Amino acid sequence: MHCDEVQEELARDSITPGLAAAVHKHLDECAACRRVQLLYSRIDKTLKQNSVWEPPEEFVETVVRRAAPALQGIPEPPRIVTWDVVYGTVLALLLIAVMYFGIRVAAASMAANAVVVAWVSAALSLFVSFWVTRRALR
Amino acid sequence: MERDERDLVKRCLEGDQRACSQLVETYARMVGTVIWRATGDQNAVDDLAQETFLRVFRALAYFDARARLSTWIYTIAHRIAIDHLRKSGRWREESLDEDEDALMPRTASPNPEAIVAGKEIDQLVRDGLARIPEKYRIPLVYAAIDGLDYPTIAAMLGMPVGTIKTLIFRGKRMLKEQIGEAFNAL
Repeated sequence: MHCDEVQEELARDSITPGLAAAVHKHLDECAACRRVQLLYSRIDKTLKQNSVWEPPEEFVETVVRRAAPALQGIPEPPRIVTWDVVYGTVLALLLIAVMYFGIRVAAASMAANAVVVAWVSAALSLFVSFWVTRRALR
Repeated sequence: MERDERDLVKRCLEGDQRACSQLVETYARMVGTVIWRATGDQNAVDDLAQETFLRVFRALAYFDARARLSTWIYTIAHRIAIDHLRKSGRWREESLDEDEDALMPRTASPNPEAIVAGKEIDQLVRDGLARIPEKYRIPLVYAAIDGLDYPTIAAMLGMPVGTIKTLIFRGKRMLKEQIGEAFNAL
């Protein structure tokens, strides 16, 4: 491996599986790359050692006091079931009913292949409707 | 969202002040740490953390129960920190599509001897960090916070996990370019 490749691996979060042996072999022989490895480890160490913020004693009280007006005026959560969803559901049920009776009529008057095609089309339509509705609800 | 979180949110929405205090107590430390790491401005952390929780309470009714509460709160903290950086004129944005040369910091590296003479390696790293673009610095410093994993950082920054890993990798390489010479002279 070349120094550039090794140093690129060292900058990654973890060495690419399968390259570890080659990287370590190179490091054993290359002082410049060992120096870069040391630099990256010092960078990681310095980043990790930065302190955690400690909230002042009165922080919670202050926030809750300031938030009180907002808390009193919290609006009702948005309703999940809306009229759009109800209309959509009714429409979907009507479509399914129409398809069902249509296929029964087709079965009585058409060839077997045509009935299979009708059933497959109906299944596909249902799947697409289900998928579109699910996306819309998200 | 876990059941405890769901219960906490419900109680806050009902106006239960103890639940609100519990929510602030649970997340204050991480919110402040995120803001501190992002802005580097310790004096502003208290105000910005308060602002974060005020926004959290105002938007709590619209919180998507399928998401994790912690990630949602840290995302708000991150946005407030970025707003602060923008307002103070410290935000430097660059495109990820730029070539490798353009990804290197535009400011000239300082004289290595001058740095090494007076500063420790930690200071060298901090100075280097202050010179790399925010786009790379922020994922780098967030990844160093205990308790923030890649998926959380990715959600906070609205990017895929793979992009976050790339930004961290490039950020580290920039940092090496910034301080490598001075470090080798030690």
